[in-house]
Order: sequence, then C-alpha cells, then structure tokens
Amino acid sequence: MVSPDGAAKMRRTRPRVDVLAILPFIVFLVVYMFVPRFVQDRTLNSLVYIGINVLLALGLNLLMGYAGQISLGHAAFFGLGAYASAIVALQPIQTQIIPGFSAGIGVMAGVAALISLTRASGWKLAVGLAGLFALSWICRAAHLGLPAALAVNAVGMAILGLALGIGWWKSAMSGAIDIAALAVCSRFLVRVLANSGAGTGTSPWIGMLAGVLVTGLIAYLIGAQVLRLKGNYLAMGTLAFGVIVEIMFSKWVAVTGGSSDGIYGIPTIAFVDGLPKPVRHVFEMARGGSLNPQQQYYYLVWLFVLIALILAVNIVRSRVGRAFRAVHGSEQAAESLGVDTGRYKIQVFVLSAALASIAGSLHAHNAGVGYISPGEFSFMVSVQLVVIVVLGGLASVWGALLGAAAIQLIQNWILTLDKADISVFGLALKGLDPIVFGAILIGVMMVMPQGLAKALADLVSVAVRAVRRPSTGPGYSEEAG
Amino acid sequence: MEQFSQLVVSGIANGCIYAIVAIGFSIIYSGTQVINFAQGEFVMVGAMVAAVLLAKVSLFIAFPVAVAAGCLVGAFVAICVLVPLKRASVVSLVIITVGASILLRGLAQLFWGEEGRNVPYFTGVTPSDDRTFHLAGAVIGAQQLWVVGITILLVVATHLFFKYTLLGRAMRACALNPTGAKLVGISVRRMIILSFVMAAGLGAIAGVTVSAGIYARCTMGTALGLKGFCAAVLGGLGSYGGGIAAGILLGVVEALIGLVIPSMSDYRDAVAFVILLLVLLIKPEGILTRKKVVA
Repeated sequence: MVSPDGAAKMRRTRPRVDVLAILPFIVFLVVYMFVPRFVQDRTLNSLVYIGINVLLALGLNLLMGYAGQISLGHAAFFGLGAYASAIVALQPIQTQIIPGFSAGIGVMAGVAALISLTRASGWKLAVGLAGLFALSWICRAAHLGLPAALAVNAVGMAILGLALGIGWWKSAMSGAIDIAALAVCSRFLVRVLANSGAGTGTSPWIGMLAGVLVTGLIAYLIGAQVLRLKGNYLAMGTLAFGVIVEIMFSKWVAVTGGSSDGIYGIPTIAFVDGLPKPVRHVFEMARGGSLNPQQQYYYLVWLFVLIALILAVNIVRSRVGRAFRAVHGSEQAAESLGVDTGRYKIQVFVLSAALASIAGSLHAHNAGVGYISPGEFSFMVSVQLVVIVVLGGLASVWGALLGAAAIQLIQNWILTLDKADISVFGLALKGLDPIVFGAILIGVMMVMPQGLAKALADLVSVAVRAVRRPSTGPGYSEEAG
Repeated sequence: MEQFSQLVVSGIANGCIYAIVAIGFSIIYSGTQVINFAQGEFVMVGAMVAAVLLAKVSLFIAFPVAVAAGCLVGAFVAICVLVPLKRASVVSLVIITVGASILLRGLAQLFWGEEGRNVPYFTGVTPSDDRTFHLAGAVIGAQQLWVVGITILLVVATHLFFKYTLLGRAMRACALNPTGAKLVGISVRRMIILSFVMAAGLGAIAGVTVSAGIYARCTMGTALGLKGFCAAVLGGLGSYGGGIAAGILLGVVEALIGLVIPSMSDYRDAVAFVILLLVLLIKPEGILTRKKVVA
C-alpha cells in the first residue's frame, strides 16, 4: 500500500516497543524464576533436559525451518561441545595430545582462511588442504621455532597458491593463520594445564568457550563446502559427518575414553553461588531459601534458553531472518535480489552448531550426572532433534519449546512402559522410541506439516472466531493468520 | 600376498552388497529425485525375515517370502512419500524417509528382538561345512560366489528390464520427463510406487544374501544404507554402472585399509563415510561420471 506520508514513515528509524512481542518473554521470565519454588528436583531434572533440547532445537530450527537446510548430524556438534567441555574441565588433557590437537586446530583455521579468502573449491581446495597438512607436518618434523615455521608456511603456501592460480598472497595468509592458530592453541592448552592444580580442573566456562570455538570452526569448514549442495546431498553429507564424529568418540580412546568408559566425574556448575550477591539474593528470594545444585543448574540452563529465544526471535524478525527465508523459498530468486545466499547459509549453519555446542557443554556438566559416553550423541539423537523441530513446527521459534516438552513427556512415558514390563500378544513393549519417533515424523509431515505450534494456534483462532461471531462463519481468517 | 588376495576377495563380496543398495538408491532417485533414507532398512527387512524363516523352512520358501516382504515394505514407504509429494519440499521428503527408516527399525526390534540371528549358508550349514575354492592364494567360500553371482544376475536383469521391457521404458520416461510421460498416458504415481518396490526388492535380495555371511540384526540397516549411498554418490547418482563399480571399489578399499594403514583398522567403519564426505565436498557429481550436479 502506498501512503502519502511514506517518506515520513521511512524516516522513523527508532524501533517501536511492541508490547505483544515482549509479553511472552515477561511471562517466560516470571515462570522461569518461580518454578523451583513449586517443583520437585526430579521434575527440575526433566526440565533441564527439556531446556537442553530447546537449545538444540532452536539452532536446528533456524537452519532447517527458516533457511531450509537440513542437518542429520546435529548430534555431532552437540557431542563436540560436550566432549570439549568435559575434557577441558577435567584437566586430564594429557601433555602428549597438545601438539597433535593444536596442529589440527591450526590446519582447520588455515583451511577456513583458505576457503574464505580465496573462495577455492573442488580439487584446488583439496590440494591446498594437502599443502597445509604437509607444511605443518614438515615444521613439526624439523622442530622449527615459531618464526621459522611461520616463514616456511607462508612461503610454501604462497608458492602453492601461485601454482594453483588462487592468489599467492591470500594462500600465504592462510598458511600464516594456520601457524598462528597452532601457536595460540598450544600456548592456551599449556596455560590451562599449568593453572589447573591436581583435581581442581579448569573453569567450565573456558571449556564451554573452547567447545563453541572448536565446533564453530568445524561447522564452518564442513558447512562452507557441504552447503553448496542441495537438500538430499546436504542431508547425507551431514549424516556422514555425524557418523564419523560418533565413531571418533567411541574409538579415539586416548582422548574420549572410548565407548565403554566415556568420561565421568565432570563437575557441575554452581551457577547461582558464583553470582554477585545482589543477583544471588534475587534468585534465592524467588526460590524461597538457598538453592541445591539441581536448582542452580535449572536456572543456568533456562537462562541460556531465554537468551537463545531472544536471539532467535530477533534474528527471525531481522534482515538476516528475512534473508534466511528468502534462501528457503528460492535460492535463485534470493540471489537475483542481491542476497549472498552462500554467506547466509554458512552463518546459520555455524550459529546452529554453536548453539548445539553450548547445549552439549550444559549436558556434560549436568548436576548429579557428570558422565558422558558416545551413545548420547548417536545418529538416533540427531533424528530425535529433527523430530522435536518437526513436531514443534518448522519455522516456529516457540514451537521448539513445545516440541522439546512433548518429546520429553513421550520419553518419560516410554521409560515407564519399559519398567512396567507390559507385553501385548507376547511382544514385550520395550524400547519404543524409534517406532514412536518414526510415526511422529511421518504423521506430522503428512497431517500437519507446520507442526504443533501452528496447529494449536489455528485451533485457538478457530475457537475464538466461533465464540466471537457464531453467525458469520469463515471468511475472517485473512487477518487472524 | 596371500592375505592381500584374501582381503580383496572378501572386499569384492561386501562391495557387491553395497552395489545392489546403490542401484536401489539410483532407481528411486531417478524416478522421484528423492534420496530414500530407508534403503538400508529394506536390506534389514530382507535379512531378518529370511533369518526368522530359515529356522523353520528351507531356503526355497524363505528367499521369495523375504523378498516379497521387502517389496511390501517398499510399497509402504512409497505411499508415505507419495501422499505429500506434490506440495512437499526436499526437506520434508527427507524427513519422511528418515521417519520410515527408524519406524521400520523400531518395528523389527519390537518383533524380533535386538540380538543377532545366525543364518545358515546357502550351501552347507556352517562356515566349516561350506565348500571352498582356491584362487591366487585366496580361499573363496561358496557363499561369496553366491553373492557375486546373484549381484551379476541382478545387474543384468535390471539392465534388460530398463532397456527392453515396456514397463522399464515407461519408468525411464517418467524419470526423464514426468509431464511428458503423463501426456502419453503413463501413470507417474504407479511408476513411482514401482520404483520403490523394485528398489526394496533388490535391497531384500541383498539382505538375504548378505545375512548368510554375517549375523542378521535390526540395526544393520543404517550402516549398509549409508555405505550403499556412498557408492551411489561415488558412481554418480542415477548411474547404474557407476554405482556398481563404486560399490565394489568401496568394499575393496574398506577391506584393505587395515592392511595398508594398520593404525586405521579401528576406524574401518569410518572409511566409507570419510570417502563420502570427501566426494560430496570435492566432486558431488561423482567421480565415475561426467554429469554435472546443479549445486
């Protein structure tokens, strides 16, 4: 609609405070604060799991629901965050893994630079990657110091870049970044080792940060290449990535503890105790007394959920969110309108991986558990996340809450059924999760492809309409939707 | 050398299975542009039904029944996909086939339990009973010959079907141009269901054949499906010859990796996925075709 005072409207840049948009968050905050006062620890534990799943689902929903890019390997990012947190927090970073680990981080950073600077792809990228590996290996084998290694890498990559025709100084830069990242990472790890006295471990926040950085970097590397592919290939690529990471968790025993042992004794985070006194008093007043670890952990997890919700709502309503939806609708159309689709796809991929990593860190530090093993990050977990997103509603931020809660309820129900030892027609009703999840996926996609949130909203609007104007009937739906 | 040829032989036998699964992927993909994530479960259904039946009846009954069960399951998945096909995006189709896949696995787990089931060899009951042949220092079991023979038979049959029968040509027409096919009176729906049923039947045959070498288990589908997909992509999706070659290549590489790099033997299962990821990253149109994927 063109209005005569369009120019005046254009000038209004100050965002108006939309009460309706903020209201859900206020309600959320109030409920968040007062839940531990009325609820038992067992329920709080379920709520913690729901919160972790909401974080995961929010990230996956931005990727799948809004940008239309599927990931069937999201459990890998979840697991990377969890393992990074657990390993850093527990301090048994054995000294011997530092060089290899740092070299890995270095090469990854180098490749990330190579991709973003030179935009090389295909075999040129593969040769560049091989070059980075080879040069790092040479520097390590020859025991070169930092300046010499920097020089060797930069010069070597420059020659390689010249030979490949991808810009010599750009590839030299990526070589230098490789070594710089390696140096920073190994110094950091040595510092962490030095700081952590026997048994005290490193601050969980550092573990969380390390997890986000590592996971984000890996997501960038994978995403920059895989996201060039469309739906099917992307699904398979992320699935393959997920399976590789899962195998690594169970077979790389030196670092991950393998599949039988896992990592145990991970400390919880005493979140509220660590806060400054006035803020702590607010929490204690809401709870009505001092807080046990379970309650503190609940506050921590759902604080992250609140932040992630605000983040997601704002992204969705912003220019970036509109770009995501444009990519979803038609990549060609979006591109023709000047949307850098490649960049947005990578951004949303890395963002959702980072959220998954935070969720993983929270999972690892969960109060009263302190234990992770590879089975918790298997393909079935990736599928379960897709179930949550689909059930809650693709492209629905609040749907993630609904989906995660529904799935937790279903899982609790399945667990009770497992314990109850019921059998029907001689079949023991046990381990029903795959059946239920599969049925939900197929059923939701067939019957209500927009998910639970939209279905409920439709139901409410139908009911409201029926109450308001019982005589006129339909025809009012344009505005309600 | 002896060990080498032995590993090559077992690699080829495994690779044949991947090849059959890869053909299944290609049949469905050319018909519908859908990657069927339940492809591995077709193999599992074939293997499990055969394993359950073979405890009571002979192979001549168990084999066809298992294949028929596979075809039925294929028709079920086809209907799940077909209902929303017109309005659904790729993402929702992927979700539906993933759903079908875990649903099938869950049902199999419910009915047949989680433990592996032993399946007798086609000729002879136990491995030691099985007749063996010697070639270039390698011992070749009769079952491995069965696997290779059945694969060759299936490949030839599929080729002849698509090339010479009216139905096969109709399916190819649908794959090339659905609208055009519809205009000349071909039922696209029926052809899609048929392609699922065929792919499922092939998968079930592969399942019956493979289960005689290893234990049949409800969870075997995912890995087999993924490895078959790896072969299909490696050979170029939609290209039957490429898929077969890539499947056998993959089987051999997987068998030899432990010999070439001993420290990698723990990660044997990851090899296929690393190859898959590398192919997707570097040359998604497959290494054995000239076709270009629109990316």
